[in-house]
Amino acid sequence: MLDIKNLKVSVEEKEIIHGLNLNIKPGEVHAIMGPNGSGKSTLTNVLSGKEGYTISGDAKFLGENLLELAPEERARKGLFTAFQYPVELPGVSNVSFLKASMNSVLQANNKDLIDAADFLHLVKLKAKKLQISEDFLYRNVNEGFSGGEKKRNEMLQMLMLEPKLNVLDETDSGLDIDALKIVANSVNSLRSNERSFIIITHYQRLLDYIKPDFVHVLYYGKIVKSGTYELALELEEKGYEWLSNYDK
Amino acid sequence: MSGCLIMISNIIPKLFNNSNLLQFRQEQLAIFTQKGKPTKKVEEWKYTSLFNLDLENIVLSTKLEKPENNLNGKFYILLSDEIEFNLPKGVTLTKLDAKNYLLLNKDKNPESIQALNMSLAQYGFILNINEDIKEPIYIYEGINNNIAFFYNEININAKAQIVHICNKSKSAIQTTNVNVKNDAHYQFIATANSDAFNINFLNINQLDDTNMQCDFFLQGSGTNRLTHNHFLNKNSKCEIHNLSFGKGNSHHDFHSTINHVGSNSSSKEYAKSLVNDSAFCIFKGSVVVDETVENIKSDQLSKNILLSEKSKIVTQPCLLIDQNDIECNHGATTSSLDKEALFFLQARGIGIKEAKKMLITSFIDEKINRSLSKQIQSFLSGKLFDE
Repeated sequence: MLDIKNLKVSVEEKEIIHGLNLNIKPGEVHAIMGPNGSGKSTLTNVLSGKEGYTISGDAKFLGENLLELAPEERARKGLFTAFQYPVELPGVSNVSFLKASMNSVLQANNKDLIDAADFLHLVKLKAKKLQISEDFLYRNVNEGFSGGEKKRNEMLQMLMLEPKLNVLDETDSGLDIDALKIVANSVNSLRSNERSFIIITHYQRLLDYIKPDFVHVLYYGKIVKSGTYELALELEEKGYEWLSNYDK
Repeated sequence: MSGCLIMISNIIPKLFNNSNLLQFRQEQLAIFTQKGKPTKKVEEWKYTSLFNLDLENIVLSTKLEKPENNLNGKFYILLSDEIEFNLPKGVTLTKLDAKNYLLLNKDKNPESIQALNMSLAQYGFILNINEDIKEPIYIYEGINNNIAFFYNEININAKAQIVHICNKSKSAIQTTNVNVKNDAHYQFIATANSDAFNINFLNINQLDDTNMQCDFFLQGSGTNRLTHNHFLNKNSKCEIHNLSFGKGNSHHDFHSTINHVGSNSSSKEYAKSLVNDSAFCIFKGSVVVDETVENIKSDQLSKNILLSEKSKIVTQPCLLIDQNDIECNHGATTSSLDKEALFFLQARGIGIKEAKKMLITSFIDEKINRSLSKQIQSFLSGKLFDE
């Protein structure tokens, strides 16, 4: 699904990620944990195609050079990023945005566009799953939403697009226990042998609900340790201080 | 300028006239002669040069045009010889003539270009709305021949919605006086095509206890100037939206003055500009509160988006207040399209062109577009995205 080799990322000549390697196979769920400033959000931004970074190394997504694709091309090929701070779009309603997004992806994959009635039926169904009320769908994207509502809205987009590779950047931050479960349930409902996830988080608590296959520790721009769910428990117990033995 | 004045003097007698009107026209010409064509040294015309507006060789328009496509068949079209119309009950629409022109209210202290217009007014209409109407009234004025001078009056005595479209492919100067005695929604769409100057003076007088919404659109590839002068009497309220859309080398100058002359009056003004290519948009908005009035509320906001490196905006929101019992806010923002928002849309599979269109449309929708009929939305959308 995703094969990253020796990825180096700099911002204004300062290297943030120093030769990262990561291989994700279809169906796998990988958690990336790390302290503040370890490069987690930089990795998310680079994967989703945000400008402003100097990048070297290699990242293949479904066999294609991911780094050469525009953000919309990545999304159309099945890469989805749930952002840590989703932007507000005043004047753009959730339904019109979601429909435009869905149809762009469908069109790029030579599939029939979804008509208004089918779309509304589907979006209401998915919203219900996330315990999102209908009036929420007609509000402007993220405008005036609470932190938790923004994150649930990201999940709604993920459920609608059903992407192949899902990157969740600290989706658990700012969520109460109930909202956390809802987010976890939506991720679990999408898990399949063909679909993969990268869950980026500071804390182990989300991973109690979404059991990852692998856990990686990102520390000062490098994956310094990899393991299974037990590694997340260890991090929760020890914190990130013990990682200071590793080279920065 | 002297050659110009001789030319105008020769033209005046050929316009519809009687002896009193002839005298009025000559008086207005004298005002224009005295003040002269405004230059950029005149503060109010600082950003809009009339240098290329040829008044030396005036050849009056001989013909008005129909719209290219009659969007919904409901336009009342001002033509040279007639007005095409099928009016609702309680509405009268009359073509300007010597008799009614003389009787119309006129500015006693006009600026020079307005005086020139009153001197040469050749086309116009008088619209009276005496009974409530549910459907909007669409009025279309089109010119693509020489230069034209218009003088219009709209008397709103009953609830009404009016869409006034001024489509100018050649230069035109126009004054429209709107007298509001009942709740009204007035939309004014000024298009200056190619190198035309479309100069409009819009004077709105809202009487006591009236509510009004105004939507103004300035667009096209030429030069638009809208001088909007609005009077709010006792207990009256208005909400004014302006959208200037500049592309190519176009120039759109919206000068607005809202005068609170009656107590308990309130105004909201939202002026927006979307500027692309090498276009230039100007908003100069003043809210004037007289010392004799009290309990005034006023909001004024100017929001602008620059779509290219060479596009330019000047915005001057301004409050002129001689009274303490008021609640006034004003502000202005200017930026390019939000890069984070564009990236967010792209990251959801939406191409950059479509993403920009979505953000531009949302910018227009906020406060403005949602109050427009579908026909006008489509008309404007065609103008905005037809590149």
